[in-house]
Amino acid sequence: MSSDQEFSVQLSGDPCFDALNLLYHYLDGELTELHRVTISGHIEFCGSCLSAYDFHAELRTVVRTRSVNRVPDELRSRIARELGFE
Amino acid sequence: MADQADFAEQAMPLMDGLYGAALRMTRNPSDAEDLVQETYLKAYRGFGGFTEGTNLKAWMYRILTNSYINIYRKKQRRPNETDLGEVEDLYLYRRLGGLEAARTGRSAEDLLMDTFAEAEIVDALDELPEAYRIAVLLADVEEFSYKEIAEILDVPIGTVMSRLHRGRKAMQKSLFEFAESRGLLPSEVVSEVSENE
Repeated sequence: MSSDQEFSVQLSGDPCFDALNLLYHYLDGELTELHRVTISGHIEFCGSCLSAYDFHAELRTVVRTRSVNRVPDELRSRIARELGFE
Repeated sequence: MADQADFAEQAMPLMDGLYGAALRMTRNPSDAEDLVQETYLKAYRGFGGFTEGTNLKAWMYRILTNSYINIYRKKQRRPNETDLGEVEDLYLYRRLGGLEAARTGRSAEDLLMDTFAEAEIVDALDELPEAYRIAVLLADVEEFSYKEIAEILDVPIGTVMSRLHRGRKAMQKSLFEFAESRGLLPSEVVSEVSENE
């Protein structure tokens, strides 16, 4: 989570447009607190924006969980041995 | 100055994540193993210069990324990164989620599980050109902030954001094409999409 944003985000005033436009910034945890609260407030009662947020949050979770790999034990041992940890 | 003895305790638990990232970078288990090993050897040698209290995870991923670029990128033709084409925002959702979920009340989770085979999500990520693949990997899988990704890749934060934006859209387009080519889309969605075109 970065608080010192090096990019600026402008709200247009159209709440559905802003919510969809900033969807990934929101999911990535990259919005200022003010913008985050504004968007949370909107998607709470806007069914179509909430549905878009649910879908992308779930897609992000699926990408993460399916990309998880355990390092082979043999490699872990080999590295520990090379570094003198075993 | 960081103590070499701390390395085992702090850096070794990061190995699963680094190996996963190495697999997505090299797309080859044998190269991924070599890359992780190289990363740990370099990190161990350089650990004395690592400032304690700063972000060790980001530091390790930076070594991994630089090692990948130095060792492996020379071997392959530089991918054409302008080849993504134009894809509209929220591509997959607009074609799939919006239609389906609104009509059936099905959860996003069920929709994604029913539509995509286990490996297809990773395949869609692996198909991305390298610069986009690494940015999406660091954000969506490793959950680094834009600022951390900018530091890991040594590019401006605006470049990170544009790679993420384009990479995610291209990934969604691949996913839609997988579902389409395997006939996994409900026929009503297919006909509705083609009517809209």
